[in-house]
Amino acid sequence: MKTSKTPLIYTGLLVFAAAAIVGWKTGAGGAPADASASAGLLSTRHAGSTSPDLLGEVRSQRTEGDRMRSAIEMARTLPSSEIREWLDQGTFNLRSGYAMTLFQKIAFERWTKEEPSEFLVWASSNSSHSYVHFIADIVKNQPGAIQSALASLDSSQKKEVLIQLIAGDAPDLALTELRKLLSAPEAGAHNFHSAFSALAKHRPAELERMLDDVKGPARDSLEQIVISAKLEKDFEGTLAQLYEMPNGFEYLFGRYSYNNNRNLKPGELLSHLANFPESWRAQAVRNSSRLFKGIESVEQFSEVDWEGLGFTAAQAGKLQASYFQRKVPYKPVETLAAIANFEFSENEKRNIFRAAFYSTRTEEDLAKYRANFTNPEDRALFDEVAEDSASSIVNMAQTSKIETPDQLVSSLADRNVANLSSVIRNWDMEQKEELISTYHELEGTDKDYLASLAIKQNSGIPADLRSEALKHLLTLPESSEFSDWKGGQDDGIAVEAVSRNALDLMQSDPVKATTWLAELPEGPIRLQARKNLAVNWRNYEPEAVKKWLSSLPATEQTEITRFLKSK
Amino acid sequence: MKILVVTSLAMAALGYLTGSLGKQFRTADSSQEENANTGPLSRRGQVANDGVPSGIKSSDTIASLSEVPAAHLYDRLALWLLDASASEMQEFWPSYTAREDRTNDLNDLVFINWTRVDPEAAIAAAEGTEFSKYPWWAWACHEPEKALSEVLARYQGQENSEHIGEVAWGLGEFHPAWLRANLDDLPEKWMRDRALSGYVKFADTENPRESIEFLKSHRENIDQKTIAAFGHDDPLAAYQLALELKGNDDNYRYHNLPDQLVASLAAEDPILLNHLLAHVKSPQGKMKIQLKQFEGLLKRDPAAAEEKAKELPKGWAKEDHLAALAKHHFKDNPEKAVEIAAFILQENGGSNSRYTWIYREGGSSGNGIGNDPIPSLLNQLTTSHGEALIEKVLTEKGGYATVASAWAQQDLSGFAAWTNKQDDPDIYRNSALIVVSELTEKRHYSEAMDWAQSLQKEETTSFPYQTRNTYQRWFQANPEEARAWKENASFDETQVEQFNKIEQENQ
Repeated sequence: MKTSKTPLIYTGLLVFAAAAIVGWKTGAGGAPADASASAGLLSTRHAGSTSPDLLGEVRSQRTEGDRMRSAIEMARTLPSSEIREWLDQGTFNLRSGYAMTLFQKIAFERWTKEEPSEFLVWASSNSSHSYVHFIADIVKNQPGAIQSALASLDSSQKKEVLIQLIAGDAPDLALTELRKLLSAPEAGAHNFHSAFSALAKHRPAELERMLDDVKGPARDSLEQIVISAKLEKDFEGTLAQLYEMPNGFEYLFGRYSYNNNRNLKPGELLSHLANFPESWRAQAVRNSSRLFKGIESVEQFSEVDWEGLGFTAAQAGKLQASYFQRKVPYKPVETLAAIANFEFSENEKRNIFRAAFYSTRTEEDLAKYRANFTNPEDRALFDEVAEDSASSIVNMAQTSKIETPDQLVSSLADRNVANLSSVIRNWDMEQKEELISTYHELEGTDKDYLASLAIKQNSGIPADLRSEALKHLLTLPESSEFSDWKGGQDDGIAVEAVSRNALDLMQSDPVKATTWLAELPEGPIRLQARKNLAVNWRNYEPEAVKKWLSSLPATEQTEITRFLKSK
Repeated sequence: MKILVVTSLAMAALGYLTGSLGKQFRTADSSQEENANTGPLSRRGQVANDGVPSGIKSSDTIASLSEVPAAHLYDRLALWLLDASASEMQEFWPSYTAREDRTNDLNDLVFINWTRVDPEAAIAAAEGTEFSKYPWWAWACHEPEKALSEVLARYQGQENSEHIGEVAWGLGEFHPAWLRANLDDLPEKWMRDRALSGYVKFADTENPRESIEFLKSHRENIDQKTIAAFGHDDPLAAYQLALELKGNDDNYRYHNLPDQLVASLAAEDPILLNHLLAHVKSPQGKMKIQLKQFEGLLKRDPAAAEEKAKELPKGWAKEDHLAALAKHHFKDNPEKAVEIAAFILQENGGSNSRYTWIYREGGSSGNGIGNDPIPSLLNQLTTSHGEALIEKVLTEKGGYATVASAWAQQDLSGFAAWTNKQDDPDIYRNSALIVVSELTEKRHYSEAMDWAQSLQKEETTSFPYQTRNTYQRWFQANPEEARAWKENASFDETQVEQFNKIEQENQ
């Protein structure tokens, strides 16, 4: 084996060497890749700088080692008052090699030490854990910089971030500053959740004592933090206290709650359910997903004796239906197979089956699910629900195979594209432009069909295509199979779609919107869209709207003006 | 024979690639050991002549460095490493690995310098240790073609092929111009992905236009600093790009990009905003730029700013300018801030939220528009000057409901106390309803029902909406407590029936 390998490797190396020479000669390396960016704009890039062309010095060095050395020297000697500007604007823009990294790191470290207050002000808008040791250094060696930074910050949010950043290293100072901030008139509507959270580990007792003095959204937030800290320290004891509190359930399960932030361990809650007050059980059933954390399978679910835990039979039934409905999109085969072992109403079963189709994309999936039913009644009901969903499943399956504009055009004749937005979601600009060109070349009902698809969803559909599609659909004769898109007698859907498109165009350029509307067929849909454009555009540019109105025919002008006065 | 062909083809591909890479690194990237100025690549601020090498030298030794704590080590170590020979690196390594306060940045620094003088030794030292990824990444900085050919030859197809990813990352991080030209030459998608990850590690303020085109074509995120640098060169194109990336707000990362760009241009050079304003067609965009200019004026000349705000035609732009003016005066002259806020509400019909409205026969639909400064102004004012503001809007006839709701949300006890002082039955009733609603929202059900009861006698119906709503919310949250309250209160038969009905509906 060894001897037979050697010649193979030699052969490979020879071919490698030969190909390397070819590669060297043919590689497209001659073009100055960045020549277009050679304009000398550096002088304006760091306008106001008093430094000589230090960056030019770095660039002019022959070797990477010399550039790195120059970068270190520059980072050490740049006036500290200029460092922020250099870092913020990326003025040291030698993007190749390692000199830029060296400059950034050394200059940043210098800045934190030499301009600590300015650094802290900056940090309040650019919070990150990566410079936490610089903050610790300031707290230790230059604590005066903190007050000076806080005094110069103009918003409560930024002050809160700074308080949060110093909370670990200087909790007493953070607490004092937070108290000041809470009593200041500009504290406004902030809940100060981040600052309370940061202090909760270090000064829990002081936070609890603050409860009586804090009002507004901060009060709720503080109470939540205090309770979470207590739960962390003594889960059992605090939970018992929560049972007695009007908002106890929310504090355990709500948005900023203990459960949400710290995540109860899977199954941890189950052992406490028996002690839940009646009101909690009712709320828990309504928020059942909280209870299911850690119950990974139907089998595990069936092992829980919900009634034994104090839930009524009706509540246990609701929990069971809810669990199956939540589980079936993720584990359809296992969950559907277990249906027969539980009691469900017909309606509950229908809901579970429908939920199974959220993740069903193919007919093969359907067959797999169907095979699992042992009860013929369940199978019949499943088939009934499946039939309702079948056409969309087939369409979704077909749609997911369309990857290019050509494939889309080829599939138009089958009329089974479920969702144009999802088809083109991953297309690049070129593909989208190709689609628009193709649309223009299409004729007949395929064009009508593509136009009807283009107006169904907004997400990702090129604005030009949607504008063209709407214009096209408005001109279709009543006899066309695609003329029923307008939404009944009042053409509500058409008014909404045309108006929405005009407003979208207005957001980038009002002239585009007025020009496009002028190209649409005259009639009530266009008139209503013009009214909608006028009423929304005037919020931004009232004078421009007046000017546009004056260019419209007198009757229309009068009608739109009357409409504007009524709003 | 089949094996021979496959092996030869694979080696040929590698050979071609590294040959091609070698040439291109030498021609398209100037950061090699040759003079950076002799290549065709021209960069901003690049000078024509050779620079005089910096004379700074480290006075540290391996022993002295080992005494420096990590928080102060980077700068000193960086300089010492520049002059460390291959043998000194070998000598330094054990003392460095003995430290407990090593950081990722320091590890980077060590291997960047070690691979500059002796890549093989750096690889050998790191092999099989927690540092094994560093030398491959670092080597790609100094000898990209060699690092790539070596790593492919050693690891392609092997279990430990992660080192190939490290080299690919380094190619993107240290050789952006080359990557823009040659990304597609990297043979595997995962390698290209890693190279792109290295590329986007830093903003590109050197060649922002090229980077933006490149990153857009590969659907990579674009750093805000890169866009700001592009904006400096071409404010309008950058602004249009920001609008394009923001799109329909599908990508949260770019949600505020146009505003951030305007702020960045304003900070760098306010003149750039004039240029931008002359070309931008988006009404919302114009409004934001004008507001940014106004904020500048407000700092320089508040009186002129006030005049300017007042002269604007009625609309959102005027409201935004006035709100900025009110916020400016909040600390030094809160009465003036209150006056301005009341004027805004009077002008806009008391609205504190903005919508895009579409009206059609028999209905309308609205979409909320963010970035509205009025709610935050009202929240700020009602926390400290709720009474002054509400009295003002009552006099001016506009915005009572908006101010009352904002005040009740910010300071319910203050608002409730004011409500209790009202003699006008309409004002009392409307305010008390807001108190009920806010108490219900805060789950103080018993107090909410007391307030609702205080209104009951004035209602035309025996079971008004607010009683129904509060009891329903209470019963859902805590049925025993709600029932106990109901049974202790005195209600007529019809009312009891209504309460019972709510209980049945919410079992």
